[in-house]
Amino acid sequence: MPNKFASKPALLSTGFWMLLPTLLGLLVLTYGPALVSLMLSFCDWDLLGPVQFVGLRQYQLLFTGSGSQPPEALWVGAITALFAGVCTVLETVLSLLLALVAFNQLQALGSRLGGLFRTACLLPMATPAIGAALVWGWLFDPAVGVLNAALMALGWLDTPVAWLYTQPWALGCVILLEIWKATGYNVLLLLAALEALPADVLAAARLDGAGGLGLTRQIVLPLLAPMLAFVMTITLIHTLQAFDAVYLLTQGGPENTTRVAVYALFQNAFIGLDAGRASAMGVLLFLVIAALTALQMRLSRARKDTAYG
Amino acid sequence: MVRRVFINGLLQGLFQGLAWALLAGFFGLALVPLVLMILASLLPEITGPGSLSALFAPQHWQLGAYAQIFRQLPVATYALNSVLVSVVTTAGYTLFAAMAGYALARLPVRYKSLWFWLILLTLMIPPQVNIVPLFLLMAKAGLINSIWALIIPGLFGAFGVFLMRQWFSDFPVSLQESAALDGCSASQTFWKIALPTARPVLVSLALWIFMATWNAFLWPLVATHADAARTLPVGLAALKASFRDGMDWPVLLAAATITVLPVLMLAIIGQKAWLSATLAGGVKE
Repeated sequence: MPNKFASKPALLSTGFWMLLPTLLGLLVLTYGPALVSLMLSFCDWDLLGPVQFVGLRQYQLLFTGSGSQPPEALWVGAITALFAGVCTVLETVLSLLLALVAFNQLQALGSRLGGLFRTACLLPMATPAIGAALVWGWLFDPAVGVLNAALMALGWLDTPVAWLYTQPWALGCVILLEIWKATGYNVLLLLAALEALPADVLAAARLDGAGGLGLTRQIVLPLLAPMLAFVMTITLIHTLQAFDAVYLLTQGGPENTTRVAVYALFQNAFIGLDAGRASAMGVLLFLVIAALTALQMRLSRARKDTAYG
Repeated sequence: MVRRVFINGLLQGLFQGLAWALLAGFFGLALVPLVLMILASLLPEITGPGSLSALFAPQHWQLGAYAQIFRQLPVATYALNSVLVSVVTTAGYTLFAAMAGYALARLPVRYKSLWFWLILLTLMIPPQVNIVPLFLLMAKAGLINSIWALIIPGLFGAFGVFLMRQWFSDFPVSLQESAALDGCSASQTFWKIALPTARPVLVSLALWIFMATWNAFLWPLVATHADAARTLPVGLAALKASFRDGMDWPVLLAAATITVLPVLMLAIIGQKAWLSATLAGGVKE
């Protein structure tokens, strides 16, 4: 085995050759494009004609409004933050509740029901976005959708609502789809952390008379905190990058109320043919995601340092 | 005293009831849309709220929407592309990740920590930021509208490398040493001894990558414009966009069923393996 007294390995060792495909791949397909994005963000380019260097103007334009239009960076930033924030809070609360209940109830009932529960968590997440968007698009459909039919049958609604074309419902629909798709995954992560809790601590607490809610609040939740922080961070990172549901359900509308960051980037680049503007948005998005990813890596390490979760 | 016990029992019962209602509600909400999708794809048409009652009437079910899909769309091409892209990407990604992971975990490599950080830091770059330059790169290479444009960017990733590195750092030293004593070179040890023992984690990783690739949407949308290179999700999105006045929901939902069912079946069959990869990585698609 190599140790620190052994001679330095040759640069072109077997290990290096085995790393090379990955290193080259990431250099060409991740670092290279990221660098080009950064450079394009200082340029004006319609993807066809000549590239023109414009300095910081793209960033300046992103932060200036035109007429009654608010600055795009602020508008898109606000919509993205609203979408990601609501999704993260709701998904975290829901998944914590479900994981705690499932942990308490399903243990006693043997593994079959537990397995079924896990499958239910898994299926929405495994569903391709287009499939999910088509189903929910149909459920939300104003004329023939199940949602309107159900609400009208219950007498809660007099006339059909075009959910996907009316604000603020459109953003709500996109949020609902995201929650449907992603909550199960968080439940599974939290359930895994719960199952890894030290059984002797729980047993000792029960002997001391802690039970039910008290046990949950005083013992389980603090032990679960690292995983909970981790779940919140990855949900935030994931939802800040949302695209599929918006593209498929609302195309950013109505009145740009579902225009999240990646949709705006896509639209600026491939429909607006404004590569500079799209790249400047990309750089801003990168700054946010990079900071959050660094946080996630720290949390991930903290999670591994503790014995459980 | 008796009364207190009674109230406690009542409260307990109430809690139990609420807990079960919550679980049942979750179960229903998770599965109902998928069940409705399949049922609706079996209807001849959905013209108004009235036709919804037919969802649960088996005598109205038929396969007309599926027949129409195959007439109207090159579904076979889409499906073949989806399969090819997912299989080749999965095979390549898994192999490259295993090689890099083994090198980082078990082999002497000069500047190892530099390479390690180079790979790790790619996790900070959201892939969407790169779509414009990647599109230009693929266009320069003449690969737009070819399935290679969908395969190549998916071949490398830090997630797999770290999963494999973690696995191989637990690979017994004694096995590595005895292989060396038997005259195996470092690469022979990897191919003949380490890689076969890694089968369980390779299966998890492969399932994970396969499903993520099958479901991929944004990049295939950008990189393909012609039916010949489209995958099922992108072909389906084009079908939806083609209905200008009113959606033909049974047809759309039949197409959705064709796209969704293979992954759902795979997810159920490979549930255990898939979960172990996703829980280890904590990375969403």
